[in-house]
Amino acid sequence: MSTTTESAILLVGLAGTGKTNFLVGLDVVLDNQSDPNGLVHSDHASDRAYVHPLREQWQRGEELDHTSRQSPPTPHQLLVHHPASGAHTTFHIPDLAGETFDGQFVTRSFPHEFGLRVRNAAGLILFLHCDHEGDHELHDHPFFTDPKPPTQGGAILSAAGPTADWSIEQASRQAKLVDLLQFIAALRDLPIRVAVAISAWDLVENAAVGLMPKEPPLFLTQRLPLLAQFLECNRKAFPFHIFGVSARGGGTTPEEIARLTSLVHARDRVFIVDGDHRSNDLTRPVRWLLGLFDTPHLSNG
Amino acid sequence: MATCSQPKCPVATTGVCLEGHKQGCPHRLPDADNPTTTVAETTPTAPTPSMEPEPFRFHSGEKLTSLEASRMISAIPVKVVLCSGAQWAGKTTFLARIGEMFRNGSFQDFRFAGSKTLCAFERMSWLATISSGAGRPDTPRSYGAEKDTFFHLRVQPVAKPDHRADILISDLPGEAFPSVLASREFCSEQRALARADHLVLFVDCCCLVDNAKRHSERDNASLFLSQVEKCRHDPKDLQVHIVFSRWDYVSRHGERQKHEEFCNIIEAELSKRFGNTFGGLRFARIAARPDGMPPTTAEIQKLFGHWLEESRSAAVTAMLRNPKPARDFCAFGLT
Repeated sequence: MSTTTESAILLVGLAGTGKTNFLVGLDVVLDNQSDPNGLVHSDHASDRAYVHPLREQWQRGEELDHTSRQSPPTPHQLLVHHPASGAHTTFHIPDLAGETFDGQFVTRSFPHEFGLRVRNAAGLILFLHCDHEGDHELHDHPFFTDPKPPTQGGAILSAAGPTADWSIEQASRQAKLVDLLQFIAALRDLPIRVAVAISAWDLVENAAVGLMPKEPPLFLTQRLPLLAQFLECNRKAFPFHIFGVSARGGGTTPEEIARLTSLVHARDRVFIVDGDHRSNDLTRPVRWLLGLFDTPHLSNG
Repeated sequence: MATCSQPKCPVATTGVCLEGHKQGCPHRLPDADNPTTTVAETTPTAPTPSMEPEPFRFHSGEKLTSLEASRMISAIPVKVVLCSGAQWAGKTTFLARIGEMFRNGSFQDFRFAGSKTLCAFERMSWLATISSGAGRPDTPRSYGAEKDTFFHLRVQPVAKPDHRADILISDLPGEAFPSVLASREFCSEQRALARADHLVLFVDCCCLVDNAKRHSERDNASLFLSQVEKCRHDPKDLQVHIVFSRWDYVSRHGERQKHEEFCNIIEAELSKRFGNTFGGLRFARIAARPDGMPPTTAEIQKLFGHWLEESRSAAVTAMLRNPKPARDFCAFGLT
């Protein structure tokens, strides 16, 4: 492919799910690609005012500044080349704050501009943090329930003190994400590919055996079953593929920061897991969205 | 050319309204050439010129009104389920448990494929979560204002991955139950009852283990079904499920056998009286949020599965129904 195409990719995820870290890690990998099948920068965008300071922070091992909801940055532009196919593509990736998506769930609306982006997007990367609970824990565990049967009819009375009133903000994460996907489906006539990125995957790999499922699809099925089933049942509208992603590469303790910054190549901090594949190539989700994947399997969901 | 606030309405390109309106479509927007036209899905008031483009609006996430439910029924095949029973009989807790089981992935035979009422499901389960701060699991009551409102679920049978089924579930507020028993006219006015494919009657085991309440609970069940028989235009099209709810009151009781036998007597009486009245009559014993024991999730799943079975009369109705009616009798009894 010799022509240059223009595409938009959406990063969707609630607060603290690693969208900005991914964007910066992607920028780093595009400059230092080790996978011969991966994407590389064909050029740097003329305006790097948003990503450059973040990249410096990332390279110092610091936690990145929180993306502002009040003044969202203009979509970051990536000029990329896929050597294996010869394709050139320009991406526009808006890095919206997680609170923006929370706000969309609460107001049950998309701003007009975002809605148009949804309609025209080539694909979306849906971010989940491996350490965030998908649902509220119920009182079902026998520890929380009274083993004696009630002796009187009528209401089951709360034994403890005041309870918090329900408000829409308190909906579970997986319900919020399913509704956001339902919003997206309502705006589109055509399917949209979804790369599910389970972030901070280093925590999963370092967790004790049995504590967290080590396979990204299994992780999604067990930790966010409502979302996993929704995607599975709506595969025609949302063809999807699930990745475990560590775009920061580790924790934020001084020891971890020292380890991360001591590596010869910054790209070696990051890794991505996808079935048997494990590499530093953070462009894999993007390639999957574009149909530039190197494996015959379109989906691992 | 006319434009519409509903994202998938083809009126702008084909001139045909998604809902079949020729005039007076509530979603119609001003001329598309007007740059200030709104594109919101639902706009309660007429759009006014503004510099800021209107946002795209979506479903509220709360229970569907009878009008919203009617639109859905008109557009796609939907099963309608009505849960009824006295106050505190466990209707809402049962529905909350269904939502929780889909959220934790414990439904074996069905997968979650979507819902327009996720917020309503979440709200119902909130007091059963640790996050709420409640010391014991609880369920908020349904009030009269929620009459003829509906939860929505879209599910995929595991055995039929290409199939989707939409269900609308309403619960008759417990405070309305005595009025249904007392007044045939009131019973006839219940839209959800008139349209329901499945009626679930909750018989409260907390009352059945209480000698002072057990007989009236039994009588009320029989009286309620009599009212339904007389008010329903087509009782043979209605599948009835009798749920002995809060079953933990029986199963943990010191005189369990005696109370189980009483339930068996009720089953036999209702079967004899109504066995040939409705399209089907089934019984279930359910504890949706019992104390100190696990919920009867297998029974809940079995009951849910019955809702999605294709009844003979439903198949005939589907064959006879004109998919593009000339006039919209929107609602089939709901509005």
